[in-house]
Amino acid sequence: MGKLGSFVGGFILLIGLMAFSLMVGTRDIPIQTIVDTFTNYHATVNELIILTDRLPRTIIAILVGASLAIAGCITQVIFRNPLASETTLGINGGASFFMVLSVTLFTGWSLSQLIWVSFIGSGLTFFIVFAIGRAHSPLQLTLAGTSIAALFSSLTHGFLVMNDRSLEQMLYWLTGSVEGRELGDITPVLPYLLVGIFLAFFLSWSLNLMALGEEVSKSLGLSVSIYKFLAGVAVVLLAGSSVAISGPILFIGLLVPHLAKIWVGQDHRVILPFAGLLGAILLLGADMLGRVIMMGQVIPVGVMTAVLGAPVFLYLVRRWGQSI
Amino acid sequence: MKKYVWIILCLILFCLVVISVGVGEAYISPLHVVKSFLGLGNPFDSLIIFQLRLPRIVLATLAGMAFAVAGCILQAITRNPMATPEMMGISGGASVAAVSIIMIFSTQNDALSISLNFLPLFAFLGATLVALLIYLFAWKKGVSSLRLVLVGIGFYILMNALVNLIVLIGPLFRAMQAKTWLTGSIYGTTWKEVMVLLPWLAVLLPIAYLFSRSLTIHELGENTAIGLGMKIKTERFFLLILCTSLTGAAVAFVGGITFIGLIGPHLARRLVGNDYRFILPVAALIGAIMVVGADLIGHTLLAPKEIPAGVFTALIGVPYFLYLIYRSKGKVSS
Repeated sequence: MGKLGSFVGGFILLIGLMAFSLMVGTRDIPIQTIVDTFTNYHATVNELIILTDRLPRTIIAILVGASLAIAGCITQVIFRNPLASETTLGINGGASFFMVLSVTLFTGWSLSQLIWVSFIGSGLTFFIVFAIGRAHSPLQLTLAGTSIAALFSSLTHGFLVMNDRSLEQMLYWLTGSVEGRELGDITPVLPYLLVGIFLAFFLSWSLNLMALGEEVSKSLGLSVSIYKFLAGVAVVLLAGSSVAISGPILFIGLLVPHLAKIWVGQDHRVILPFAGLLGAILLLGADMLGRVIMMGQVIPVGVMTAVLGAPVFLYLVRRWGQSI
Repeated sequence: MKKYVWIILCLILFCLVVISVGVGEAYISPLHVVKSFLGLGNPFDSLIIFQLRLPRIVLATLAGMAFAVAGCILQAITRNPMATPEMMGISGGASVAAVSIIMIFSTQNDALSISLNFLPLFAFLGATLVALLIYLFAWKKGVSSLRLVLVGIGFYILMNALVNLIVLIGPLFRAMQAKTWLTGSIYGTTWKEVMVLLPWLAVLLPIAYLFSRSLTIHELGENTAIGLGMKIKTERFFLLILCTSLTGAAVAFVGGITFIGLIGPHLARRLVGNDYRFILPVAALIGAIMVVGADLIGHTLLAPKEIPAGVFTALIGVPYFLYLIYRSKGKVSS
């Protein structure tokens, strides 16, 4: 399968999944109703379900999946480490702790204000991990990131326990979920996501050079520190806004870059868009699986990706077992 | 020097216990606490101390010891100072098992419908299962300690997800309590819990101490150990089971109090050197001090609100862990 074929196939799959995502759930909706919702709207119950529940979660799953996957690609290049990702470096965890803190402390804040808190959280964690783990082996970096994630998760739990919040509100920040958002919630996050994605594409050529190593990229005339900084900004924008809207969703950023490289090779100009596509497909698929796997019980997509992603993480560890 | 370490640690623990017993809604001065310990206090103080406060502190002490010793064992057999039962998903396995039991067997009025005695057993089974799976997945013509730790991290993340899943699909009214427990809290302990945990530790801790010499040899490396006539694989397996049973027993009662298994052994090594005959007891004391201390801070800082003790142990533990990683820069251990 050529690169073009992969893209076309991916798009067809994504569109198919989108249609299914609108149809499937605790209540099955025929495809004709979905078409009617957009062409001939009558505000029936099914059409309302589509507009207020299924459509937002589908769009969010696609956006967040793509963003996390692209952020993962960049992170692996910055750290030159196959196990680096927002998950393993604790960036998701940092952002969600700061979100929990501000959601409970500043109750009146809207999402467009909260998203900055999420940026601060993810940026701070990124900086800490970068400072500690830069010159380290994959093992040490992963350990550093996971322990930071553990700290933030412990703080998050402690904070939630003390504040007696209802479980519904906790759900987002503990596991990551695309449920219960409205179309209007996407608007404040969208600009940052788009800036992040454009910045990532703008950097894709320099990412190729950076992947070759600091020495090589320097000798080819790339001012590494500036580009690393920009790449870091892109990661913070992408991961931060993802967490702001859907909480910490694990493993997408770790797995998708590897899958994408298997499919389309090592050129980041191709990898980034393809990883975005793949991330969207995976997250949408995981969300649908979470909706249908247990009767009458929706499993948050964050739990699904963790359960599906952990075995692949183990596989990766075994595969790189000799070199690390 | 080593003798002083002992005495100082015991003194710190004793002071912490006395303060901990005294602090609460009804304050009891340290002098009265000591009097009550000696059987000379007034009956009202004694009632509060022995019935309400002491069980919690005894449980904290025991759990701290168990976590620290489990950490010592794991670090020795993996020969990796970064290995801890928490970060490798072994505590997580125990948590998954314990939460499942709590969810499945709890009745409407907040009681367990099976005997409390089963809880540590299931937690132990959960921890053991995860430990075996880690070993299995890390196996690739032998087990490298790096792969062991990384596979462990994978399980750590997976176990977290599973716990969240069980809490979410379980009955709502239990979920809040399960969350509190998971963060590491010993609120509302009675002698009943202590009496279930005590036999486990009374057996396991002495066994661990009997193996302290072989732990020292394990840490020297496989070849040395074989050279000294050790059946390394059998013994390593046995020690792993010892580690999971200590972890399981402790997790069953105090939940996710983390990073004791990291700091206990490390501080102990700094204080008394590399011989596990000294490390084990000193680490156990440090573990006890940390949990009792974290619990004390947790129920005084924002009283009457309770902050789970696990929050504080993570606050101390994680920066220390990061410092260890930072210091090991450039060194590639294998």
